[in-house]
Amino acid sequence: MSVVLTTGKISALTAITKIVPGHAEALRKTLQGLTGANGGKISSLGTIHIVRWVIFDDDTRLFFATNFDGSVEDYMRDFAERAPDGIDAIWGHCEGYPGARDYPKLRDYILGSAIETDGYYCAYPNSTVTDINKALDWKGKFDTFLDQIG
Amino acid sequence: MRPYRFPFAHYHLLNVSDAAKARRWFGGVAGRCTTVANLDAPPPLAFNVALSWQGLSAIGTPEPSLSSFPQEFQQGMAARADRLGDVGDSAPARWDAPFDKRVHALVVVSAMTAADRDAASTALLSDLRDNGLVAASTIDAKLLPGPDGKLVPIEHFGYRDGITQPAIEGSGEPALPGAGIPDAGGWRALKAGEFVLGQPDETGAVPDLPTPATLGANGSFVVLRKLHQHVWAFRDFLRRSATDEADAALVAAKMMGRWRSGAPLALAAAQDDPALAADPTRNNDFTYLDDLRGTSCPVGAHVRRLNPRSGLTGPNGASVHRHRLLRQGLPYGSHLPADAAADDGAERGAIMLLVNADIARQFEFVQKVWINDGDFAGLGNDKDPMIGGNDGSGFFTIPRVPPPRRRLKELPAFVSTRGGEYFFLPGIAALRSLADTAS
Repeated sequence: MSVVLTTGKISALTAITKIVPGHAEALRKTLQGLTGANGGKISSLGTIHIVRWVIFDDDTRLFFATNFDGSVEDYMRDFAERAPDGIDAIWGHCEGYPGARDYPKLRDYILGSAIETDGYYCAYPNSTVTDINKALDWKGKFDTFLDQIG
Repeated sequence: MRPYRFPFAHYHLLNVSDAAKARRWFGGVAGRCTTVANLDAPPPLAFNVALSWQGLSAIGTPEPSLSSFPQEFQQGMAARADRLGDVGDSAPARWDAPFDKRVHALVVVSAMTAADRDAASTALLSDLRDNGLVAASTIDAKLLPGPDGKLVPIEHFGYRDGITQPAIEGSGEPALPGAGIPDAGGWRALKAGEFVLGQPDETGAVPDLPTPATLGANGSFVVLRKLHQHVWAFRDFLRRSATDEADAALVAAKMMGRWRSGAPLALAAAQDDPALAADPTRNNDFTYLDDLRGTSCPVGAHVRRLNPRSGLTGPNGASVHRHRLLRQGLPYGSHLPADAAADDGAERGAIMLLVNADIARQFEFVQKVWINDGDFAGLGNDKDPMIGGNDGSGFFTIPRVPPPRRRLKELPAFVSTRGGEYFFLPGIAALRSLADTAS
């Protein structure tokens, strides 16, 4: 799928959807809530490196850009199964949104609004979110170990 | 431009009460300011004048000129507190007067004797009122007495200070080994434009000047920092972290990067070497290139952070010469006796004057990246163990042969900011021109 660009184990997806007139402010509050407090539900998915939403074009459109581990289908299915309320709370403010509980329709909606990526670089293309968190955990434990024997 | 040092100084912080009179006064003092020309025969007294952006505004500098100065200078140091790590106990709200409000001008009177300095300051202060200026505060700074009562270039923590200054092209001084930047087969002086406006800098180009050129040319920026030193906390930390007195001396040297005498760990890793420290041709002649892992001098040690030389691997090593500062520091407050059993709560610290051509690229970068972060050198969140904004949660890593490394934990702050401001140091001709344009 050309709207998804992959480098190593990490992929990029960018989508732009139309906001239902008058819904921008409610959407903004939802996005701030979902991404606050260290990402809550988003972080619990364990495959998302970075996700960014931008309300632009005079509050009429929503820009969505994400970097994630694995294939786009796995990513979206996972997202839809584990956080359908979150997806509804965001794209429910956008025109033509089919709901998160019908996966094929959700997939077609997101990929249908996706745009191609023209340039993509990742400093650690073969390291997943799990790899990185595990490495940081090991580093912390190793430092503690060195403190004990030093 | 050339760095110099006197044992006694007064830092007079002034505010402007009458723009036209003050302009005339600044123009008139141009003839009394110390220049390189009269440094060749060392004078008994030096006199320097600098203005903050608020000060330039207060003497009626036209708006197009005011807005041609760099943004960080216009904002002033207090407004840059977050970037500088001046938070918590170092926050501007806690700064000493007059830095908690505003400062228009800095006049530095430096002298070889206290009597000369005091006489010059008295003459200066009596002269101000009729010239549209108000003295907001004077900071009394001088070298501390050594064990025999003689003044020594040693700061409050007990370390020899003022060894390293960047060599500058055209300063007329012979460059000592280690004073410039490492070059093929030796050392070379830095381009004058790193410290003087209107001269080519290390890129070979002349950066834009504040306008008009008559005001900006041959000027520079002086960063003043009033840094309180928590001497008792430093000694207490060493006692708690070290196994015995010799170990405390080693731990402190590892944090500082030099022994008490000033001998660099890069050349004297195992023990202090006062003879090396006393030899200006040797005490600065090293690059860290043979110590990239920091087993002699830790990569995070204070002096290595402030001048990493060739000791940074990776892309960060390529721009070390773009972040150099001329430094002049003098202690204020009394020495805490070596046998003090508790913190006496007294005010003591250092007045640092840091001269550079670009405050954001030089002073602020050093403060933010080299002092208050560790990522530039692969040290994660570690900060400068001596002057970083530590809060009791930080670490300091001492690499060792053989491993494992030693790591100091729960570093408190040993220094708190008590004030500061950004000043413009006009060239002599520019200072004189202020009187010409006085209305």
